[in-house]
Amino acid sequence: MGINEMYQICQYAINKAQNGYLTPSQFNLLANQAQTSYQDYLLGEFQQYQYGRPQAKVNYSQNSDTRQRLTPFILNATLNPNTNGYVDYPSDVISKDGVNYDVFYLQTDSITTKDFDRIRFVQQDSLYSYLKSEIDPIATNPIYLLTDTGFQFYPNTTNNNVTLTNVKVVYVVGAPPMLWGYTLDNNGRPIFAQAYSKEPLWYDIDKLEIVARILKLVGVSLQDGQVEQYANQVTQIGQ
Amino acid sequence: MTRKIFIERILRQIYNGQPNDDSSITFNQVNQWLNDAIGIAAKKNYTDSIQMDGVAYVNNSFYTTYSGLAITSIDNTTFKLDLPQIPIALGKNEGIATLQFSNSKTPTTFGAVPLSMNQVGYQDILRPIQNKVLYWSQGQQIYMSTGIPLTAYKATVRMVSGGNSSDLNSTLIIPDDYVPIMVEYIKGQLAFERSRPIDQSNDGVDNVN
Repeated sequence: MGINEMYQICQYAINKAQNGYLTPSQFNLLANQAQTSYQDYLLGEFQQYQYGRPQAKVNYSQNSDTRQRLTPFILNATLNPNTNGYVDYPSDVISKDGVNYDVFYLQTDSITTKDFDRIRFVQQDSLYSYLKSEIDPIATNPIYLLTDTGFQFYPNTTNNNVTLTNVKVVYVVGAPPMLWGYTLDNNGRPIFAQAYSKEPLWYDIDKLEIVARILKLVGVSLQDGQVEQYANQVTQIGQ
Repeated sequence: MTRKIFIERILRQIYNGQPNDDSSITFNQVNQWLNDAIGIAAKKNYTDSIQMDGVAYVNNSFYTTYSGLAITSIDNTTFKLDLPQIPIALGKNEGIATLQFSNSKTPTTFGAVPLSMNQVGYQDILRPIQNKVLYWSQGQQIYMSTGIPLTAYKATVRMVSGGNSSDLNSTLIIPDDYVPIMVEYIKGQLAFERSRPIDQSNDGVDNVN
Protein backbone atom coordinates (compact mmCIF):
# COMPACT_ATOMS: atom_id res chain seq x y z
CA MET A 1 0.00 0.00 0.00
CA GLY A 2 1.34 3.41 -0.97
CA ILE A 3 0.37 6.87 0.11
CA ASN A 4 -2.07 7.13 -2.80
CA GLU A 5 -4.01 4.11 -1.54
CA MET A 6 -4.04 5.58 1.95
CA TYR A 7 -5.52 8.78 0.56
CA GLN A 8 -8.10 6.83 -1.44
CA ILE A 9 -9.18 4.82 1.60
CA CYS A 10 -9.66 8.02 3.55
CA GLN A 11 -11.65 9.59 0.71
CA TYR A 12 -13.76 6.46 0.39
CA ALA A 13 -14.67 6.45 4.07
CA ILE A 14 -15.46 10.16 4.10
CA ASN A 15 -17.32 10.37 0.77
CA LYS A 16 -19.46 7.31 1.39
CA ALA A 17 -22.47 9.45 2.21
CA GLN A 18 -21.07 12.51 0.45
CA ASN A 19 -20.35 13.96 3.86
CA GLY A 20 -17.20 15.81 2.97
CA TYR A 21 -13.93 15.98 1.12
CA LEU A 22 -10.33 15.75 2.26
CA THR A 23 -8.02 18.03 0.31
CA PRO A 24 -4.43 16.90 -0.40
CA SER A 25 -3.01 19.51 1.94
CA GLN A 26 -5.38 18.43 4.72
CA PHE A 27 -4.50 14.80 4.10
CA ASN A 28 -0.77 15.55 4.25
CA LEU A 29 -1.21 17.49 7.46
CA LEU A 30 -3.35 14.83 9.10
CA ALA A 31 -1.30 11.89 7.82
CA ASN A 32 1.86 13.23 9.45
CA GLN A 33 0.01 14.02 12.62
CA ALA A 34 -1.43 10.51 12.59
CA GLN A 35 1.90 8.76 12.06
CA THR A 36 3.46 10.78 14.88
CA SER A 37 0.57 9.75 17.09
CA TYR A 38 0.98 6.10 16.08
CA GLN A 39 4.73 6.16 16.69
CA ASP A 40 4.11 7.67 20.09
CA TYR A 41 1.67 4.83 20.76
CA LEU A 42 4.29 2.22 19.83
CA LEU A 43 6.95 3.89 21.94
CA GLY A 44 4.66 3.97 24.98
CA GLU A 45 2.26 6.79 25.78
CA PHE A 46 3.03 8.13 29.22
CA GLN A 47 -0.57 9.25 29.62
CA GLN A 48 -1.27 5.60 30.33
CA TYR A 49 1.21 5.42 33.19
CA GLN A 50 -0.14 4.59 36.61
CA TYR A 51 1.15 6.14 39.79
CA GLY A 52 4.43 4.48 40.75
CA ARG A 53 4.31 2.24 37.69
CA PRO A 54 5.61 3.94 34.54
CA GLN A 55 4.34 1.37 32.06
CA ALA A 56 2.04 2.00 29.11
CA LYS A 57 -0.28 -0.65 27.72
CA VAL A 58 1.91 -0.85 24.62
CA ASN A 59 5.61 -0.18 25.08
CA TYR A 60 8.67 0.06 22.90
CA SER A 61 10.19 -3.39 22.33
CA GLN A 62 7.62 -4.94 24.64
CA ASN A 63 7.71 -7.97 22.38
CA SER A 64 8.90 -8.83 18.90
CA ASP A 65 5.66 -7.55 17.35
CA THR A 66 5.83 -4.02 18.72
CA ARG A 67 9.54 -3.91 17.94
CA GLN A 68 9.08 -5.24 14.42
CA ARG A 69 6.64 -2.47 13.60
CA LEU A 70 9.27 0.13 14.43
CA THR A 71 12.20 -1.58 12.70
CA PRO A 72 12.05 0.74 9.65
CA PHE A 73 12.99 3.48 12.09
CA ILE A 74 15.61 1.67 14.18
CA LEU A 75 19.11 2.62 13.08
CA ASN A 76 22.58 2.35 14.55
CA ALA A 77 25.57 4.64 14.68
CA THR A 78 29.06 4.84 16.11
CA LEU A 79 29.69 7.78 18.41
CA ASN A 80 32.94 9.28 19.63
CA PRO A 81 32.24 11.60 22.56
CA ASN A 82 34.48 14.65 23.01
CA THR A 83 36.82 15.10 25.96
CA ASN A 84 33.90 16.29 28.10
CA GLY A 85 31.92 13.17 27.24
CA TYR A 86 29.41 14.99 25.05
CA VAL A 87 28.30 13.98 21.58
CA ASP A 88 25.39 15.18 19.43
CA TYR A 89 22.45 12.92 18.79
CA PRO A 90 22.95 11.01 15.57
CA SER A 91 21.01 11.61 12.36
CA ASP A 92 20.95 9.68 9.13
CA VAL A 93 19.39 9.31 5.71
CA ILE A 94 17.16 6.36 4.84
CA SER A 95 17.03 5.48 1.14
CA LYS A 96 14.03 3.63 -0.19
CA ASP A 97 13.06 3.16 -3.83
CA GLY A 98 15.58 5.76 -4.87
CA VAL A 99 14.19 8.41 -2.53
CA ASN A 100 16.19 9.77 0.38
CA TYR A 101 14.53 10.53 3.70
CA ASP A 102 16.33 12.62 6.33
CA VAL A 103 15.73 11.14 9.74
CA PHE A 104 16.59 12.38 13.20
CA TYR A 105 17.17 10.86 16.62
CA LEU A 106 14.08 10.25 18.68
CA GLN A 107 14.87 7.68 21.37
CA THR A 108 17.71 5.43 22.47
CA ASP A 109 17.43 1.69 22.18
CA SER A 110 20.79 0.55 23.57
CA ILE A 111 24.30 1.90 23.99
CA THR A 112 27.31 -0.38 24.27
CA THR A 113 31.04 -0.31 23.86
CA LYS A 114 33.48 -3.10 23.27
CA ASP A 115 35.41 -2.22 26.41
CA PHE A 116 32.56 -1.82 28.90
CA ASP A 117 29.71 -4.10 27.74
CA ARG A 118 26.84 -1.76 28.49
CA ILE A 119 26.39 1.92 29.16
CA ARG A 120 23.47 2.64 31.42
CA PHE A 121 21.04 5.50 31.20
CA VAL A 122 20.63 7.27 34.52
CA GLN A 123 18.22 9.88 35.69
CA GLN A 124 19.78 13.24 36.40
CA ASP A 125 18.72 13.05 40.05
CA SER A 126 20.67 9.80 40.52
CA LEU A 127 23.84 11.15 38.93
CA TYR A 128 25.67 11.85 42.17
CA SER A 129 25.18 8.29 43.42
CA TYR A 130 26.47 6.80 40.20
CA LEU A 131 29.49 9.08 40.08
CA LYS A 132 30.40 8.27 43.69
CA SER A 133 29.74 4.54 43.61
CA GLU A 134 32.50 2.42 45.13
CA ILE A 135 30.95 -0.89 44.11
CA ASP A 136 30.53 0.12 40.47
CA PRO A 137 33.18 2.81 39.95
CA ILE A 138 32.28 5.16 37.15
CA ALA A 139 35.61 4.58 35.39
CA THR A 140 34.59 1.04 34.54
CA ASN A 141 30.80 1.37 34.61
CA PRO A 142 29.85 4.07 32.12
CA ILE A 143 26.56 5.93 32.19
CA TYR A 144 24.89 8.51 30.01
CA LEU A 145 22.47 11.35 30.48
CA LEU A 146 20.18 12.88 27.88
CA THR A 147 20.43 16.57 27.04
CA ASP A 148 18.45 18.63 24.57
CA THR A 149 20.95 18.15 21.76
CA GLY A 150 23.00 15.07 22.59
CA PHE A 151 24.33 12.44 24.96
CA GLN A 152 26.43 13.25 28.02
CA PHE A 153 28.69 10.35 28.94
CA TYR A 154 30.57 9.52 32.12
CA PRO A 155 33.42 8.68 32.48
CA ASN A 156 35.14 11.14 30.19
CA THR A 157 38.63 12.42 29.61
CA THR A 158 38.17 15.69 31.48
CA ASN A 159 36.66 14.34 34.69
CA ASN A 160 37.91 10.77 34.91
CA ASN A 161 40.82 10.50 32.48
CA VAL A 162 38.96 7.73 30.68
CA THR A 163 38.10 8.21 27.02
CA LEU A 164 35.06 6.47 25.61
CA THR A 165 35.43 5.68 21.93
CA ASN A 166 33.48 3.73 19.34
CA VAL A 167 30.27 3.88 21.32
CA LYS A 168 27.66 1.85 19.47
CA VAL A 169 24.18 3.30 19.74
CA VAL A 170 21.00 1.73 18.42
CA TYR A 171 18.32 4.37 18.24
CA VAL A 172 14.85 5.12 17.00
CA VAL A 173 14.35 7.97 14.55
CA GLY A 174 11.19 9.93 14.06
CA ALA A 175 9.15 8.73 11.09
CA PRO A 176 10.02 11.13 8.24
CA PRO A 177 7.18 13.22 6.80
CA MET A 178 5.05 11.57 4.14
CA LEU A 179 3.60 13.56 1.25
CA TRP A 180 0.81 12.95 -1.24
CA GLY A 181 2.26 14.84 -4.24
CA TYR A 182 0.13 15.85 -7.18
CA THR A 183 -0.22 17.77 -10.40
CA LEU A 184 -3.38 19.56 -11.55
CA ASP A 185 -5.31 18.33 -14.55
CA ASN A 186 -7.11 20.54 -17.08
CA ASN A 187 -10.00 21.00 -14.70
CA GLY A 188 -7.78 21.99 -11.81
CA ARG A 189 -8.25 18.68 -10.01
CA PRO A 190 -5.24 17.19 -8.18
CA ILE A 191 -3.87 14.03 -9.80
CA PHE A 192 -1.48 11.85 -7.79
CA ALA A 193 2.17 12.24 -8.87
CA GLN A 194 4.64 9.71 -7.50
CA ALA A 195 7.58 11.91 -8.39
CA TYR A 196 6.43 14.63 -5.99
CA SER A 197 5.41 12.21 -3.25
CA LYS A 198 7.11 10.85 -0.16
CA GLU A 199 5.94 7.39 0.75
CA PRO A 200 5.45 6.32 4.37
CA LEU A 201 8.19 3.95 5.49
CA TRP A 202 5.86 1.86 7.66
CA TYR A 203 4.79 -1.70 7.00
CA ASP A 204 1.36 -2.08 5.38
CA ILE A 205 -0.36 -3.21 8.58
CA ASP A 206 0.85 -0.05 10.26
CA LYS A 207 -0.34 2.13 7.40
CA LEU A 208 -3.88 0.97 8.19
CA GLU A 209 -3.36 2.05 11.80
CA ILE A 210 -2.30 5.44 10.51
CA VAL A 211 -5.33 5.65 8.22
CA ALA A 212 -7.56 4.96 11.21
CA ARG A 213 -5.94 7.80 13.09
CA ILE A 214 -6.37 10.13 10.13
CA LEU A 215 -10.04 9.23 10.01
CA LYS A 216 -10.39 9.89 13.71
CA LEU A 217 -9.21 13.46 13.16
CA VAL A 218 -11.38 13.83 10.07
CA GLY A 219 -14.38 12.52 11.97
CA VAL A 220 -13.89 15.23 14.58
CA SER A 221 -13.52 17.86 11.88
CA LEU A 222 -16.65 16.81 9.98
CA GLN A 223 -18.55 15.89 13.12
CA ASP A 224 -19.17 12.58 11.40
CA GLY A 225 -20.00 10.08 14.09
CA GLN A 226 -19.75 7.05 11.85
CA VAL A 227 -16.24 7.85 10.65
CA GLU A 228 -15.12 8.57 14.17
CA GLN A 229 -16.72 5.40 15.46
CA TYR A 230 -14.98 3.32 12.80
CA ALA A 231 -11.64 4.93 13.60
CA ASN A 232 -12.06 4.38 17.31
CA GLN A 233 -12.99 0.78 16.76
CA VAL A 234 -9.83 0.13 14.72
CA THR A 235 -7.49 1.91 17.12
CA GLN A 236 -8.94 0.62 20.37
CA ILE A 237 -10.42 -2.80 19.67
CA GLY A 238 -8.81 -3.83 16.40
CA GLN A 239 -10.35 -4.58 13.04
CA MET B 1 31.66 -22.57 39.01
CA THR B 2 33.05 -19.08 38.54
CA ARG B 3 31.77 -16.13 40.49
CA LYS B 4 30.34 -14.71 37.28
CA ILE B 5 28.25 -17.79 36.62
CA PHE B 6 26.95 -17.81 40.17
CA ILE B 7 26.09 -14.12 39.94
CA GLU B 8 24.37 -14.59 36.60
CA ARG B 9 22.26 -17.37 38.11
CA ILE B 10 21.17 -15.04 40.89
CA LEU B 11 20.38 -12.19 38.51
CA ARG B 12 18.30 -14.47 36.29
CA GLN B 13 16.19 -15.39 39.30
CA ILE B 14 15.83 -11.87 40.58
CA TYR B 15 14.90 -10.46 37.17
CA ASN B 16 12.93 -13.49 35.99
CA GLY B 17 15.19 -13.91 32.96
CA GLN B 18 17.96 -11.90 31.41
CA PRO B 19 18.29 -8.52 33.13
CA ASN B 20 17.63 -5.44 31.05
CA ASP B 21 20.38 -3.02 30.15
CA ASP B 22 19.02 -0.62 32.75
CA SER B 23 18.81 -3.19 35.53
CA SER B 24 20.11 -1.63 38.72
CA ILE B 25 21.51 -4.76 40.42
CA THR B 26 24.97 -5.18 38.97
CA PHE B 27 27.49 -8.01 38.93
CA ASN B 28 29.75 -6.10 41.30
CA GLN B 29 26.91 -5.54 43.72
CA VAL B 30 25.97 -9.22 43.85
CA ASN B 31 29.66 -9.99 44.28
CA GLN B 32 29.65 -7.86 47.44
CA TRP B 33 26.74 -9.84 48.88
CA LEU B 34 28.52 -13.01 47.83
CA ASN B 35 31.32 -12.33 50.30
CA ASP B 36 28.78 -12.26 53.14
CA ALA B 37 27.14 -15.41 51.85
CA ILE B 38 30.45 -17.28 51.79
CA GLY B 39 30.89 -16.48 55.46
CA ILE B 40 27.42 -17.79 56.23
CA ALA B 41 28.09 -21.00 54.29
CA ALA B 42 31.37 -21.59 56.11
CA LYS B 43 29.74 -20.90 59.45
CA LYS B 44 26.98 -23.35 58.62
CA ASN B 45 29.54 -26.00 57.77
CA TYR B 46 31.28 -25.31 61.07
CA THR B 47 28.08 -25.75 63.09
CA ASP B 48 27.03 -28.73 60.98
CA SER B 49 30.28 -30.47 61.83
CA ILE B 50 29.66 -29.94 65.56
CA GLN B 51 26.15 -31.31 65.26
CA MET B 52 27.11 -34.33 63.17
CA ASP B 53 30.61 -35.20 64.38
CA GLY B 54 30.78 -33.45 67.72
CA VAL B 55 33.96 -31.74 66.55
CA ALA B 56 34.14 -28.21 65.18
CA TYR B 57 35.92 -27.92 61.86
CA VAL B 58 35.46 -26.50 58.40
CA ASN B 59 35.63 -28.89 55.49
CA ASN B 60 38.73 -28.76 53.28
CA SER B 61 36.64 -27.64 50.31
CA PHE B 62 36.30 -24.17 51.83
CA TYR B 63 40.01 -23.40 51.94
CA THR B 64 41.97 -21.27 49.51
CA THR B 65 45.73 -20.88 49.36
CA TYR B 66 47.19 -17.42 48.92
CA SER B 67 50.91 -17.30 48.25
CA GLY B 68 53.55 -14.64 47.64
CA LEU B 69 52.29 -12.40 50.45
CA ALA B 70 54.87 -9.75 51.36
CA ILE B 71 56.07 -9.49 54.96
CA THR B 72 57.05 -6.25 56.64
CA SER B 73 59.00 -5.74 59.83
CA ILE B 74 57.59 -4.02 62.94
CA ASP B 75 60.66 -4.60 65.12
CA ASN B 76 63.49 -7.15 65.28
CA THR B 77 61.25 -10.01 66.35
CA THR B 78 57.79 -8.95 65.19
CA PHE B 79 56.55 -8.97 61.61
CA LYS B 80 53.25 -8.59 59.86
CA LEU B 81 51.54 -9.25 56.56
CA ASP B 82 48.27 -8.17 55.00
CA LEU B 83 45.71 -10.84 54.20
CA PRO B 84 43.47 -10.64 51.14
CA GLN B 85 40.47 -10.45 53.45
CA ILE B 86 39.60 -10.53 57.13
CA PRO B 87 39.52 -14.20 58.13
CA ILE B 88 36.09 -15.63 58.84
CA ALA B 89 35.38 -15.77 62.57
CA LEU B 90 35.43 -19.51 63.14
CA GLY B 91 36.49 -20.74 66.55
CA LYS B 92 39.36 -18.80 68.01
CA ASN B 93 41.46 -18.59 64.89
CA GLU B 94 40.32 -21.32 62.56
CA GLY B 95 39.66 -18.94 59.70
CA ILE B 96 43.33 -19.47 58.94
CA ALA B 97 44.58 -23.03 58.72
CA THR B 98 48.27 -22.71 57.91
CA LEU B 99 50.94 -20.09 57.51
CA GLN B 100 54.19 -20.99 55.74
CA PHE B 101 57.22 -19.18 54.39
CA SER B 102 59.56 -19.65 51.48
CA ASN B 103 61.84 -17.78 49.12
CA SER B 104 64.07 -18.63 46.19
CA LYS B 105 66.78 -19.93 48.50
CA THR B 106 64.38 -21.85 50.68
CA PRO B 107 61.84 -23.30 48.28
CA THR B 108 60.69 -25.82 50.85
CA THR B 109 58.25 -24.05 53.07
CA PHE B 110 58.48 -24.03 56.81
CA GLY B 111 55.40 -23.54 58.92
CA ALA B 112 54.36 -21.33 61.80
CA VAL B 113 52.54 -22.04 65.04
CA PRO B 114 49.15 -20.34 65.55
CA LEU B 115 48.20 -18.48 68.69
CA SER B 116 44.78 -17.41 69.84
CA MET B 117 44.47 -13.80 70.86
CA ASN B 118 44.64 -14.42 74.61
CA GLN B 119 47.79 -16.49 74.15
CA VAL B 120 49.54 -13.52 72.59
CA GLY B 121 49.96 -11.74 75.93
CA TYR B 122 51.46 -14.88 77.41
CA GLN B 123 53.79 -15.28 74.46
CA ASP B 124 54.96 -11.68 74.87
CA ILE B 125 56.67 -12.45 78.16
CA LEU B 126 58.58 -15.39 76.70
CA ARG B 127 61.83 -15.31 74.84
CA PRO B 128 61.51 -16.10 71.10
CA ILE B 129 61.77 -19.81 70.39
CA GLN B 130 64.72 -20.50 68.15
CA ASN B 131 63.91 -21.25 64.50
CA LYS B 132 60.18 -21.19 65.18
CA VAL B 133 57.57 -18.69 64.12
CA LEU B 134 54.51 -17.95 66.23
CA TYR B 135 51.65 -16.04 64.63
CA TRP B 136 48.24 -14.64 65.34
CA SER B 137 45.75 -12.98 63.08
CA GLN B 138 44.28 -9.63 64.00
CA GLY B 139 41.75 -8.06 61.67
CA GLN B 140 43.13 -8.25 58.17
CA GLN B 141 46.74 -8.70 59.34
CA ILE B 142 48.79 -11.59 60.54
CA TYR B 143 51.44 -10.79 63.14
CA MET B 144 54.46 -13.05 63.55
CA SER B 145 56.89 -13.35 66.40
CA THR B 146 60.28 -14.94 65.67
CA GLY B 147 64.00 -14.41 65.62
CA ILE B 148 64.13 -15.30 61.92
CA PRO B 149 64.38 -12.24 59.63
CA LEU B 150 61.09 -12.95 57.88
CA THR B 151 61.20 -10.01 55.47
CA ALA B 152 63.43 -12.16 53.29
CA TYR B 153 60.53 -14.55 52.75
CA LYS B 154 57.12 -14.57 51.17
CA ALA B 155 54.21 -16.03 53.06
CA THR B 156 51.70 -18.65 51.97
CA VAL B 157 48.38 -18.76 53.78
CA ARG B 158 45.59 -21.31 53.68
CA MET B 159 42.38 -19.73 54.84
CA VAL B 160 38.63 -20.10 54.56
CA SER B 161 37.76 -17.93 51.62
CA GLY B 162 35.56 -18.07 48.58
CA GLY B 163 38.53 -17.40 46.34
CA ASN B 164 39.58 -14.18 44.69
CA SER B 165 36.68 -11.81 45.28
CA SER B 166 38.09 -9.17 42.94
CA ASP B 167 38.17 -11.46 39.92
CA LEU B 168 34.70 -12.43 38.75
CA ASN B 169 36.19 -15.04 36.43
CA SER B 170 37.87 -16.84 39.32
CA THR B 171 36.47 -20.08 40.69
CA LEU B 172 34.05 -19.74 43.55
CA ILE B 173 35.61 -21.98 46.16
CA ILE B 174 32.52 -23.28 47.89
CA PRO B 175 31.36 -26.92 47.74
CA ASP B 176 28.09 -27.48 45.89
CA ASP B 177 26.23 -28.71 48.97
CA TYR B 178 26.60 -25.26 50.58
CA VAL B 179 25.75 -23.18 47.51
CA PRO B 180 21.99 -23.29 48.22
CA ILE B 181 22.59 -21.56 51.55
CA MET B 182 24.33 -18.72 49.78
CA VAL B 183 21.59 -18.54 47.14
CA GLU B 184 18.88 -18.19 49.77
CA TYR B 185 20.74 -15.46 51.61
CA ILE B 186 21.52 -13.39 48.53
CA LYS B 187 18.06 -13.86 47.06
CA GLY B 188 16.59 -12.53 50.29
CA GLN B 189 18.75 -9.41 50.23
CA LEU B 190 18.19 -8.64 46.57
CA ALA B 191 14.48 -9.40 46.63
CA PHE B 192 14.22 -6.96 49.53
CA GLU B 193 16.04 -4.34 47.48
CA ARG B 194 13.79 -4.93 44.49
CA SER B 195 10.66 -4.61 46.60
CA ARG B 196 11.54 -1.23 48.08
CA PRO B 197 9.74 1.78 46.60
CA ILE B 198 11.82 4.14 44.48
CA ASP B 199 11.81 7.87 45.06
CA GLN B 200 11.13 9.01 41.53
CA SER B 201 11.03 12.72 42.21
CA ASN B 202 13.93 15.00 43.00
CA ASP B 203 11.97 17.46 45.09
CA GLY B 204 14.06 17.72 48.23
CA VAL B 205 11.87 15.26 50.09
CA ASP B 206 13.13 11.72 50.63
CA ASN B 207 9.82 10.13 49.69
CA VAL B 208 9.23 6.43 50.07
CA ASN B 209 5.74 6.58 48.52
